[in-house]
Amino acid sequence: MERASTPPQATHEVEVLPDAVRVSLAGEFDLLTEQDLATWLGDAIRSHPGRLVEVDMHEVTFLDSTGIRVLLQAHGAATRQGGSLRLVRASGMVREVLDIVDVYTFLTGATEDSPRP
Amino acid sequence: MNSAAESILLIDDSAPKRYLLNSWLTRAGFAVTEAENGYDALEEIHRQRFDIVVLDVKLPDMSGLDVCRRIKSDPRTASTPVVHVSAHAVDAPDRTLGLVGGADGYLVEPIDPHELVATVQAVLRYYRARRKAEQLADGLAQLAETTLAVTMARDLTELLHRAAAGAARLFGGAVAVAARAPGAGWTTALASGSDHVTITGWEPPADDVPVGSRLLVDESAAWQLPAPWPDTGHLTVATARLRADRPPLYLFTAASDDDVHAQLLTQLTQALAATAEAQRAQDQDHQIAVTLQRSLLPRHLPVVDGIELAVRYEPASQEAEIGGDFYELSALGDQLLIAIGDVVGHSLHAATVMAEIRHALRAYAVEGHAPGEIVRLIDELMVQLLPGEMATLCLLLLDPRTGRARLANAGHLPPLLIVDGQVSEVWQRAPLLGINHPRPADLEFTVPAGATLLLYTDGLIERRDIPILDGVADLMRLAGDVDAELDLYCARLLDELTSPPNADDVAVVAVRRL
Repeated sequence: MERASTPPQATHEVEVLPDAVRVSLAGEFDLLTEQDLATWLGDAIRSHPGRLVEVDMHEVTFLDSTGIRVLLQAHGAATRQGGSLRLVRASGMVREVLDIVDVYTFLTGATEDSPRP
Repeated sequence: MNSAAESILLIDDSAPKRYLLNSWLTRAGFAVTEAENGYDALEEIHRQRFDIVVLDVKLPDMSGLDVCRRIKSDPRTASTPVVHVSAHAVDAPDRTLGLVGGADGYLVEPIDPHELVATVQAVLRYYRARRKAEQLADGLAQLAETTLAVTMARDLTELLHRAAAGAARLFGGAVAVAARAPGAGWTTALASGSDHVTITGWEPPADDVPVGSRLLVDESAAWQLPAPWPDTGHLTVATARLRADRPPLYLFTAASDDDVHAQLLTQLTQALAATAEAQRAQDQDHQIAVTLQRSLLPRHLPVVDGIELAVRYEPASQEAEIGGDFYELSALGDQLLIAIGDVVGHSLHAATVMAEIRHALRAYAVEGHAPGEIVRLIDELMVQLLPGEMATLCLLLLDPRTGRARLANAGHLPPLLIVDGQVSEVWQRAPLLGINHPRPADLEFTVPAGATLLLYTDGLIERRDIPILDGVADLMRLAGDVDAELDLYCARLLDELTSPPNADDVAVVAVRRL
């Protein structure tokens, strides 16, 4: 009953651009939203095979290691299917944790010869 | 139910007729109150509750039909049945008007005494059945609400607290709910109203409770319930027991021989027993998981000359899932192996991955590899054999005699080095385990005599409302003052930085070079 009135902890929006699929995330990503995140990114990758999936992190207010694991797994899945996945607009707390586990450069695409955001 | 005489309000302006009707009804066992006009009747019916109203249609001050309409339109009296009596020769349309106006019966002069009594009894029988159905419906709605509240409880105490509050609302008066946690004593919630619940350690006396449901009315003295249980002569004891090898659940209420009470009490007790059992199973699972996880962590700390060691591991709270934090401290030849890590995820599965990583770490370390190589080998092992798993790890080899240390980090928070009260982070940025990315060379540094190294997992510093590096900064402010006893030091940091219930598990390792 308490839960019904609380807004969802995490949301996403998908936008198909000429050269990419943009998934804009908002809210808190942790153990509770891990499955949602995996589904959202998995769907974006599967429905646009071979395309670039751009994950906009601007509205993400919390990201923990379970969320990072999903991002890394989605990155792997996109690459295996001949596409790619890249984080954009990661800042503040999100950038900080990505730096601590040292995957910021990897997930933002700097190792894939694309310009840094 | 029929212990007290049912009450009738008799309204008629004719004294002889009042006398006559009164004597018939009194003889039939009813308690009769008289009123001679509509105004007095409405006064009277708001002063006390009547089981039924017998109402003359023609009154001096207002019509009996109006009096009836006012009784039926006031929520306080709407459920009181009304029987019209008419002294006049009336035809069908008049009687219809009376019944449409809300009357439950219509008698016309000449009135036969038997017909009057029979009509009043028939109307009352219908109202009793209706009231019971309403009570049961209300009771079932409240029962559903209580069951839901109880199911959402996080532990047995909260469950019993909510059960007692709900039962007090449902049955009125004092209630008590008692159940036993696995491997623990009884917990009893006593309520004297839904807002006044006290938790006590009262235990029911030895009692061979059968499997299934049992309901009995017993002397209060036999049960010795503690205050604030009222000192009444009798009480109702409902028990529900799901299996012979499970403890029963008790629900006590005031004594009652009402069958709606009995029905609701039995249903609530059964629902509570089922919920308490689910809670017990969940608590047991958590306990098993915590015990297993502890068994996967080092059992003893090594004794190393020139080194003082302390560790603290706090599992996540009962409500949270088990975490994957781990640490390792081993003497390997003349080196001390120190490691701390955190497997991503919260589950028993994460704990088993933790155990695999820890054992691999020990095996590679025994082979004599340098820290960076050990980390690289574990990373390779994870990619090959534990695909999809990820972990952070900080590993170092320390020479206790010289203080020379070699460190390899993999996405873990930086250890702190405390030298003469000065705290610094030992940063080496390198990717977490499980993605097989290139690593930097090992970081070499010296731990001076008297200095302390502090390793920790994110449970110690992570809070949703602050950036993680601010949490590290908070820890650094507290970490400079190293207690003489390292155990106290670890305990103090945990006390000051975490507040139960912990959403995450926490591991802290402190190493001092003497």
